[in-house]
Amino acid sequence: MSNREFYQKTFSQVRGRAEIRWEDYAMARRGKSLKWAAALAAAVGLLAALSVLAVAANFFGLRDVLLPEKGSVYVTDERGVVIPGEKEFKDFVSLSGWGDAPESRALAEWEAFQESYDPDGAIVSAIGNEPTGFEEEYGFYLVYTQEMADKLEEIAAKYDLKLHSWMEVVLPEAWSAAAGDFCGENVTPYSGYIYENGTFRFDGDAELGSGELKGYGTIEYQFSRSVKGTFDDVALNIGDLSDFEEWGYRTADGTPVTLGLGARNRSLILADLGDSFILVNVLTGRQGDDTFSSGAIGREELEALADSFRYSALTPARAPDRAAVLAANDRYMEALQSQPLETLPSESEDPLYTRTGIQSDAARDFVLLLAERIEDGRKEEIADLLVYPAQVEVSAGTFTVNAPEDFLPYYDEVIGQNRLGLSTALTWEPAPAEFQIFSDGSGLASVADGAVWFGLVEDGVIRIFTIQTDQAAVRALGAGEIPQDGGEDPLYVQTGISTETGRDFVLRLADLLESGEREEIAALLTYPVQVKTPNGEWAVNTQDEFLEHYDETIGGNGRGTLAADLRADPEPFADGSGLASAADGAVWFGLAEDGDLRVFTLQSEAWQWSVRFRDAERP
Amino acid sequence: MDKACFTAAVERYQSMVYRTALHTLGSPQDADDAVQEVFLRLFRHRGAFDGEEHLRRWLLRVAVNYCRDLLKSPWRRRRISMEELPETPVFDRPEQAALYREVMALPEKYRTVLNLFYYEELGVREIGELLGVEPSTVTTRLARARRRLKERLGEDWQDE
Repeated sequence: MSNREFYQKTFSQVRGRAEIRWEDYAMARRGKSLKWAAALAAAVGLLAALSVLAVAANFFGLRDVLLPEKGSVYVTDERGVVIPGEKEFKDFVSLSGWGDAPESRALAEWEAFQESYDPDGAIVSAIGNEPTGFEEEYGFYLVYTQEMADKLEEIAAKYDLKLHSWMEVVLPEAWSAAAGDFCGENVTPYSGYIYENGTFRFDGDAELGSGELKGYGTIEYQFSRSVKGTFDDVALNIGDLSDFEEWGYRTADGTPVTLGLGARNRSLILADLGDSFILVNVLTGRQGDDTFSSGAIGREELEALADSFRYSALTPARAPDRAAVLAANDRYMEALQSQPLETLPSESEDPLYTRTGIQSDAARDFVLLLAERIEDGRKEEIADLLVYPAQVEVSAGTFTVNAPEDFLPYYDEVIGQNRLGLSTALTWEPAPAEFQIFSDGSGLASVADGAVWFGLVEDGVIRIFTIQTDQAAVRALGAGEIPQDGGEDPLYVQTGISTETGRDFVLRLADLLESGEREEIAALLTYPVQVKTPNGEWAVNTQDEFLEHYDETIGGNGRGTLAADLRADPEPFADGSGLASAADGAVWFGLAEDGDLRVFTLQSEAWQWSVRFRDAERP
Repeated sequence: MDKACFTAAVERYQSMVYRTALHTLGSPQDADDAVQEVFLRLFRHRGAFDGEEHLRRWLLRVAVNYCRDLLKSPWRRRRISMEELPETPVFDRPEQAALYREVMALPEKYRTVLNLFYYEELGVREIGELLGVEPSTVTTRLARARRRLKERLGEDWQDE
């Protein structure tokens, strides 16, 4: 079976569950709902069962939102792939209120039931992808057997809770219609969903840009409002409570909240509004979050975010006006529909965006941030913004740096001594406070008359490719040739050489060996070398000197075998030394100071000769 | 587009749109939502299609564009932060489940080209045009994805 047949047979079994009917769209046009609820219900159920989140705290207060029992989550390998059958136990919090609330106790009981029910997945496997018959009545919960339905009803009755009966998607500009004006001017809510009782959840961002926080930028979060009296099976997995610093705070609209500032990349805002409970999962903490390019925050930023919501507009909790939500959704969709499919108008009208993928506003923000960091001498933060590996050109010579910590010793000479000049040039060229950002078609943007070049890297964040002054420079090594997947390629991470480049190099070396290209091979070696044969050892300093030993080493016995070995096993391997090897160690190679690939060791165990770079630190 | 044509298009291409969305978004739930959205755009589409292939390519393009826009949105990126684990469908054979798992574990750019190349049988140049990248980029992504699948699946994935 060919790979294509294998692929097609596999993925032909993967089918969606959405029901697409002409009538639904026709009705939607007249203000009726699209049938999105079922699909979203599944998403919510999944979130409840599997969501893996942050970290929480061992202090009184935050501890009170913990569910009494730990919950299990799947264990994933280093690639994020689930390891079948392996689970680990984590602390969970209810989104519905404090841990002793009926909603939370019901959730804990439901979680415990689910933990023990169908543990090997045999029942759900037997059902497969077919409808279960429980979608209509229990579509908002993870129910696929009568036994599960009975248990859910039993728990709801025990704690005197209702079950969710309907849910609507809320599109970004429909939140006011769905839940009132609870968002401050600096808050942008994205799509989410709202239930029949007013429980809703969405992801959003907020600009923290005034006063002392000027320049912080965007903070991202997940907002949950749970109206009490209804069973909600969403729980968040949290980890180490001791990671959080906790304090009470009264927000701008006078609402008392509990704030938890995470030591790492998550923080929490909790507010009990009486008839509903707010939990904001803030996607950054004292360390920031590289995934979302979120900077670190402190107490002030967390309090500013807490101030960004008008909690008083959310109480008393009211059931949403479904028709109003749908009408607002339709207005949003109509507006969206009038835009071109591929790009937003603002993007197509922005030449910088067209050339670099970076919107002008984002580029200006980045330049301002960079200028501020340079002026303040925030070395580590600037080092983190560079693209690696990079070449540093300083008075002592040219060196390759592979990571931020490698660059720091050169920081003062490249940037530090030009601190004020650089930061001024960034924001004052060509005129004060009217700096211009150029792009030359390379995909990068430049500012300060070419002193700084920056661009998007693979994960969609902006990074610096070049900083250059009259005295020194740091440049991304082979900027145009850096493999797109550098970050995913273990060899690249360790050596600065992509697996593909390394393999090509090994195969080229095999060609040269076979065809006896002695001068070219000699030129690939890194000198000085130690030549060792059964007849003795010699220190060799130049290519010409080495050619005298060529025939008793590389050009002699074992040449054909070595070439064959390289061909048979060209896959490069890194051992942490900074070099790559292939053919079970017959060749070791790496990046030389000039950025080119060179051979550091070539050896034949069978014929007992070797040619090695004479450096104690090399293998 | 009238009801008969729309219904026929749904019947023929819903799975294709779902697979495309699933490959790009990596989440069955999001893919279901995307299917709704893509067919909503077809419902509202006022232009004519020059035959079946034109319609198929249009749907593929809209699906890819829509899903990639979703990936760019902060909302979507944050949902990824929740580390939701995609549900695994039930397959006829264990090696098929393994292929599904390994494909879905790849980064989005690899999943998307794998689907367009192996399932939809588009050429490298067509994929490049659809995704707005050079054909050489498509070739590189395919090569890396194949290598990864070969490493993970062993003999179940042929050398190419």
